[in-house]
Amino acid sequence: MKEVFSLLIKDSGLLWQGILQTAYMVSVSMLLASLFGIPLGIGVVVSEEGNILENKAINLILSTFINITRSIPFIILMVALIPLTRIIVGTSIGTSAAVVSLTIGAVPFIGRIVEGALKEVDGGVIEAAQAMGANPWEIISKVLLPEALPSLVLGLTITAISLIGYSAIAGAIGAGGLGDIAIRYGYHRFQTDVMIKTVVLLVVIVQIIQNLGTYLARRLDHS
Amino acid sequence: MIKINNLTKIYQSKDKQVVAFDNINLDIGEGEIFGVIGPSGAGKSTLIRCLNLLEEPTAGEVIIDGQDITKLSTYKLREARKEMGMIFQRFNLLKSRTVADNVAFPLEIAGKTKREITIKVAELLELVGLADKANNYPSQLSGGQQQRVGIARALANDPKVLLCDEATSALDPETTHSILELLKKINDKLGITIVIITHEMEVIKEICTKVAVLDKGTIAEHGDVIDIFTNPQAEVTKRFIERVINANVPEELLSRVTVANPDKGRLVKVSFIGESAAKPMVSELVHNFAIDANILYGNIDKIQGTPFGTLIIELTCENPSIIEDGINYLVEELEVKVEVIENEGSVLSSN
Repeated sequence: MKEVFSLLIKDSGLLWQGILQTAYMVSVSMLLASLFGIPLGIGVVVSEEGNILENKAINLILSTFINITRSIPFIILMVALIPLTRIIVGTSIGTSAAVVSLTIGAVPFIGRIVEGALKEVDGGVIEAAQAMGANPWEIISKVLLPEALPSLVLGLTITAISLIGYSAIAGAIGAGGLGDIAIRYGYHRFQTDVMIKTVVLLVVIVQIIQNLGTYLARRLDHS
Repeated sequence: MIKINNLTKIYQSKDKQVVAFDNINLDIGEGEIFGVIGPSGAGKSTLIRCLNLLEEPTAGEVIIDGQDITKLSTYKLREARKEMGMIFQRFNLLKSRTVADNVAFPLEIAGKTKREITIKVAELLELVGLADKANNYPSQLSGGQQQRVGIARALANDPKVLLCDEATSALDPETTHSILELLKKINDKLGITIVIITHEMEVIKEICTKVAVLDKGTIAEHGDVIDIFTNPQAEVTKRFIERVINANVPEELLSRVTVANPDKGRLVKVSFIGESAAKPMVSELVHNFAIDANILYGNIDKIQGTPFGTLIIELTCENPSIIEDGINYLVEELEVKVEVIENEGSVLSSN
């Protein structure tokens, strides 16, 4: 019993640090990526043909940007962004460095998710708002976003979970976090127990985030 | 109030043109309840959408309250739209907002203060009879209640015009009736001009004062509802009217009448409006002319408060010329409309 317990708490300091680093990377990159990704998704939707701010050129540019950035494998994006990362955070190693590539990788992802969520909004409701004399900004802020909120929350939950996965990949180039621990201790040093613990922790974290997202989306959904 | 001049809408795709409607002219007076009826695909939804420019017409003018809205800038158009309410077939309420917040939406758009909004929303919900549902979400309401919210929302900025796009088509007959009652009440109380697009003749019959019949992109006929009902000209109008005033005699009965009395009898359809509806015409025929009158079908209805009825009577007499006298008497003295039905075909086409 005592042995099992000591095995369980072994490396707990290291793992706790990993959790904090992962949380830091995911939350900061999530925040920054939303800051750019949500407007990007809105832009793609409203500039579409027949939508409130139809503009074929802008739609083509935004759409192409999303498609190109999304088709680059994350590990290659990370390496390619090393010079940029150096300019922004001064180093290409560590959690803050990982945030740069995680953010840039997540922006188009969020863009597509927001696009999908906004497209679900009933066109009739938008038409009703137009008939009431709402301007495009009012339609975006008072109709599109609030009506799509439950889907947006679910979509952002998926993004956050994907970012946990990406942050583990980022561990491969020395980003820190649980993924890094799994690779360095579990894989390179053959510490299977550390590997298992990180995986279990990741499963638990993903569960918590998913449940939270699902709960929130359900609370917000009045349809 | 609304003047539509030479309005045309053509959808242009790569290699073909689809004409939604062509060269429409209509004049809708202030305070009228104006109905536009037509079969699906007649272009009526496109037409009503051209009245607030949700659809841009290809040519023509839409003059609302003296102002041609097709020539307004984007900003001015938005301002003009705030003066017009619109309700929809599928209600189009925001499902993320409560009933009260849905009604508040156009007021927010119009830049009203919180205080003004609260007062106005309460007033409107009272008007449509949903004061107790203020904090419910649309998904918790029935279709009729949702349309009431739609109406309250449409009236929020005290519009001069209310556009109704198939507003009752998704509702059951009873709810349709209650919504129409509400629209009528609003028209009486606020004097607002209402334009109704529908494919249901019952809607026209129940509340409209004027009607235009739209068919294949043109106006087949238009005028006072009572005139259109009692004396329809276009084929499409007759078909619509048949649906609410079904004056078709069952075939078995028809053949019996015509076969049994080839030269002694006449089958007539009598239509009467207003005053003449109250006259005892059948008994007069019997007493004054000694004609046997056998009523095969009878219906009396009210259009805009005017009684309007149809009778199909089999007239028989030993002397055929007396029947002719009787018919003349009906037409000249009682001022009713009489049609002699020759065969099955003519019943179906007459009205």
